[in-house]
This record gives sequence, C-alpha cells and structure tokens, in this order.
Amino acid sequence: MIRASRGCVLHLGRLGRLGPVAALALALTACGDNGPDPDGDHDPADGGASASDAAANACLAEGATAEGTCRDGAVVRCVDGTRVETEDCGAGGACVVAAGGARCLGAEACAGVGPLGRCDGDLLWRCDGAPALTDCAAAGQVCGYIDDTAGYACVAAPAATPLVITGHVRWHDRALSPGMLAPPAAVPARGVMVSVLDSADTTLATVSTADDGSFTIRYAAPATAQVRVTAYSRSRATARPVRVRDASGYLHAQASPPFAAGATATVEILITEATGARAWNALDNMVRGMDVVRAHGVTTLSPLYVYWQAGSSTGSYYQSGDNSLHLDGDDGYDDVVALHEFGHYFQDEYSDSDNPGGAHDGSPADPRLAWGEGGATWIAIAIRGVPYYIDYAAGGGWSVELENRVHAASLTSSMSQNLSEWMVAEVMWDVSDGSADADADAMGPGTAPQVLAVLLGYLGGSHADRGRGGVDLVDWLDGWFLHHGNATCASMRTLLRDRYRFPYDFGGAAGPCP
Amino acid sequence: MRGISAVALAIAGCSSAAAPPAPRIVESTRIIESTPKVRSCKPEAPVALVAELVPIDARRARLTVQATPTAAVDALELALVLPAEVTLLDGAPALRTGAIGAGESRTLAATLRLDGRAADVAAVARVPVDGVVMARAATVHLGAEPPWLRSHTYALPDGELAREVRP
Repeated sequence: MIRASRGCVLHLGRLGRLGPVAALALALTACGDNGPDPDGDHDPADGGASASDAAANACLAEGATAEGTCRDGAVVRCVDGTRVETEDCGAGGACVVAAGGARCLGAEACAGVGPLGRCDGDLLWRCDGAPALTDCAAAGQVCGYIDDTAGYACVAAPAATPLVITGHVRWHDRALSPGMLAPPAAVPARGVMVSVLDSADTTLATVSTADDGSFTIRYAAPATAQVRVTAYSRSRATARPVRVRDASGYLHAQASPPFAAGATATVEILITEATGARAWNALDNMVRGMDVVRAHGVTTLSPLYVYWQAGSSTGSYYQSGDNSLHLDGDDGYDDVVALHEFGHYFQDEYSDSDNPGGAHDGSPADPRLAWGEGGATWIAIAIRGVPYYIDYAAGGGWSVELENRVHAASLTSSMSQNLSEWMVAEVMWDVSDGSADADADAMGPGTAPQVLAVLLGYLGGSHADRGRGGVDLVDWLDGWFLHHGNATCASMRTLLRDRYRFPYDFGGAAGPCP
Repeated sequence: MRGISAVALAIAGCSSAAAPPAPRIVESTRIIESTPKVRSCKPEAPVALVAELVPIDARRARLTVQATPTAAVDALELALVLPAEVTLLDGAPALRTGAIGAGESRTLAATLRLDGRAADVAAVARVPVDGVVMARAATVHLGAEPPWLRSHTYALPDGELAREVRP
C-alpha cells in the first residue's frame, strides 16, 4: 500500500516523535500552508516559501530521500523531489536496503530462499522470520557459505578459496493427480548438498542449494586440476536432516562434466528420469514435510533415512528403530505414498501411534491400525492440500477421494469397533479443511494447524487412553476438545454421529459436551 | 573383371552402415510377480499378479497373466496395457468376472508382437474394496534393455557413500 503525504494526508504517527509543536509545524508545511505570500508569486524573498519548497520540506521533514529508507516495516521515499510516499511492506513482509535503495520484500520473496539463505551475486537473501536482503559488497564482503547450520552469509573475501562457481540443481518432477502423471518439468532441488571434487574424488568444498536450486560455492584448487560439481540426494541442513539412498546404501549423485579449475564459473545440473529424478522427488517430499513440521513449532528434527531404487520391490514402509523410510521402486513419483510414510515418521518422532502393522486394504480394521494409517494419510493430504490418496502405477493406479466420500462406522457398535483407515483420514480432513471445505461439512472453522496441535501437543505427550487400548481416533478426539475447548461440540456431534455414524461419547478429559 | 567386382563389393561392404539387429522380444521365459508386500505399510489391493512371458520367436511371445485375490472380492477386472509398439495377435486384452473368493484365480492369455525396439507391457488387476476400486500392476519389459548408466562410487568425507552418475 502506498500513501502519498501531500496536501493534508498526514503521518501523525511518525510526526508524533518530534513533539507536538514541531510536528504541527511540519504538518502544516507538508499541507502547503506556508504563511503569507503577499504578491502570490511564491518568491522566497517574500518571506513565504514556494509550493515546491514546501513539498521539498515535506521530504526533509520526514527524512525521505529518492533512494528511500526503511521505517517501521515501510519504505519511505521522496518521489519526484516533491512528495513523500510511504509503502507499507505488509504482514510477513519487510523493508530492506540494498543495491542503493530501499524496497519492500513480500513473504513470497522467501519462496526461493529456504532456511540456509541464498546468494544472488554478493546480495545475501535470508528469511529467518521475515525476508532480509543485504548487500555484502557494501561492507567490503562477499556472499558465501559458512556451514550447514548458518548457511549463506556475508563473509570476508576469502583469500584461501579464490575460485567461485554458481549455478542451479534441478530435477524432473512429474505432477501427480488421480490416474496420471504429468509430463516431466524441471523444478529446483531445494536444500540439496553440492560439492566440488577433484579427479581423485577429494571434496574441495560443500554447500547446500537454496530453495530456488541455486548455489554459490567457493573453493581452491591448482589451475591444472580437473574438478567437477556434484549434487547429492541429501539435505545437510539441521532444519531438514534427510538423505535418500539406493538399496545398497549409496546416496544418489549426479556430476557435471569435469573442467579445469577456475575455467568454469557456472554449472547447471539437471537430473532426469533416466538419471534418477525419482530419488530427488522422494527427497523433496521429505523436505516439504519437514518444513511443515518445523512451521508448527518443532525446532529440532530427527534425521530421516530414505531408501529408493528403480526396480526395487521392497514395498513402501517406515521403520521406527532406525528412522528409515523405504519406498518401493514403483513409488518414486508417488508423492502421496511418500508423504504417507513421512506421516509415520511424524507419528513416531513427534506424536503417537500403536499401529500393529500388517497388510491392509482400507476395509474396517483394528482401530489402532486405522488410526496409524488414516492419520498418516491425513498428514500426506494436509501437506499437499489435496484430499486424494493416490497410488500411481502402470495403467493409472488407483485413488480415493477423501472429501466427499464417507466410509462410515456403526452407531450401534462401540467406540472400539474396527474402522476404515479412510474414515479416520476423512474425519481429520473434514475437521481441518476450513476455507477449503468443498462438502460443507459440519466442522467448517477447523484448520490443519489445529489438528496438528492435537497431534503434537496432546498425543505427542502423555495422554489418556480411551476407546481401544492404544492410540486410536477416540484419543485424538479427546485431545481435540482438551486443546480447543467444547465450542465445537455441536458441529463435531453432527460430523461424527450423523455423517460418519461413529459412536464417540464426548466423554474425554475436557468434560462433557453441552 | 572378377577382381573389379570383388573390390566393388568390398567398398560396398565397408561403406554401408549395417542396421543393428532388431532386439529379441525376450531372450528366455520371464516371470514377473506383484503381490501384497508383507512389510508394506501402504494400503494395497488384495490381489496377487503373476505374469509369464514365453518367447515364440524373435518378435513374438506368449503372455499369460494370473490374478489371485488374497481376500474375497465382489469383482475382478484383469487388463493389458499395450503401448503402440506392441500388437495383440490373439487373445483378449481384458477380462471381467464377478465375485470370487480368496485364493481363486483368473487367467488372461495373449500373443504379442513387438514392432519397435523396446516397450513395457503392463497387466493390471482391479478389485473393489469397501467402495474403492484398488489396482495392482505387473510390468514386463520387452525388447532392448534401457541403456546402461555408467556410475562411479566413492566415500564422502563423513563416510557416507555415494553412487555418482555423469550423463
């Protein structure tokens, strides 16, 4: 939003700092009321300031320059030398001064940055709360990589590593929808490890890509050395500790052609289906999932070890003992399957599940299994924001729509009855879909953060055990009312009993529903 | 004259680019299985698929697909997904049955001809479970194998191993 401070549009909030008398004087100046001008020629010699002087004074009064300055989350600049404009950078945005001027950066500017920052030449982008842009060169520094915790920063021009390579790592994604995969499209490899190596496989330097896939890597090597740039299927950032290995335990990696040290300043790496893009898809899904978990208050994430290899037939599963997540060779582009398994990692590390495991097909099963699987599916569809479970395969695979479908229970049975895992996911989606609600279910106002708050804050700690022994839907519902109060009793009753025919008794620790 | 002809033939032999031989549809009998995985945690269609491909000659093979539900189902559909490089010479591309019990099998057989250098043929079984049509696929590769991707393995400074490809 831009407000022009011309005429009598006053920024009293800013002027107020000057004290009432000075503020009033400056305000009047800004309004153009400049005292008597006997002959009306605006001649300063007359003792009255001209209109242009008055406007110029407005810029002076607010300390505004043509380049602009940052004040209270807004850009204040003098435009055309005659008026002051204030541009509010808005919620989540920030005012930054770089490259000779002030400007607003919206929250969207962070989309390509990530937790370790980004170098754009010697401009440093950081998004640690709000976007920030720093001109390292203005301080006689360069933009470089410190380590996997600090990431990119302004650093002293490093004499020890005089060579620099910039570039991007991208991989071919294929967007998933029910029954089909879209044609390959290059997307950024977010937060992946990139190294410069010599011909003896000695690592000379290592950095991580920003979320736009870009990297800046500084290194030293003899001019006669042959070096290459290699991207690895691993995120080393402490914010996203995940790696993807093949069935033999090797990271997937793709290298540039070798070149003489210092001879190349730009390297672009594109990982295609033929060179293993599915592994990078698995990595990106885990990065995406970890970002969601971190955004909901989990500050320290446990390492995750993903295994995927073309042609493998291991099945897809998560193993809690070693935090390993195994994806079947057929599931490389199956984002929902990958995120469903990520959901089991989430349950294991930050929430709770007593899933007995075993083969399952969505038909009514042990409520602990229904909770474990349905809860994991909800994590997947909530991260994607699309209420479909999809398992793609030759011939189109299969899918389940989870917004309008109802896999009902039996009102005449107990809370411990066998349930469909689909019903668990459907209930959680209906509770969380808020403004995305397409079926006008009874739980209109619920949100995904509210559901996550119960998963993390209630099931993630000590909690009561009702319903079937072990964690099940009943326990999550108890946690819902304990965390969010009984205001949703009526709508939850309609949702659970009328729509899903589930005989929840509304008798948890939050007290009886009215 | 005989000498001139011999030289001409030799030149022709040296200058003509010999077309690579068409790859065989399958070198020997191949069996592909896709069954509910014991360790898998994702929901899986309760049906097992076994596809057997037996070569008839260089370009033709007999494909037999057997679908066996692992739980009683109300219906079963078994279908072949044939790309443009493959011709169905005989047999049906699909079959549908009503309710069948766990352990009962249905079989689809067809003779295929590979017209291109390589193709993937899939057999897909679909079964309804609690109102959801779930599917399982078994894919058989015909003809030339995909080009081998050269890789190089080494250890990173922290001991992690990497398998690097360089396209």
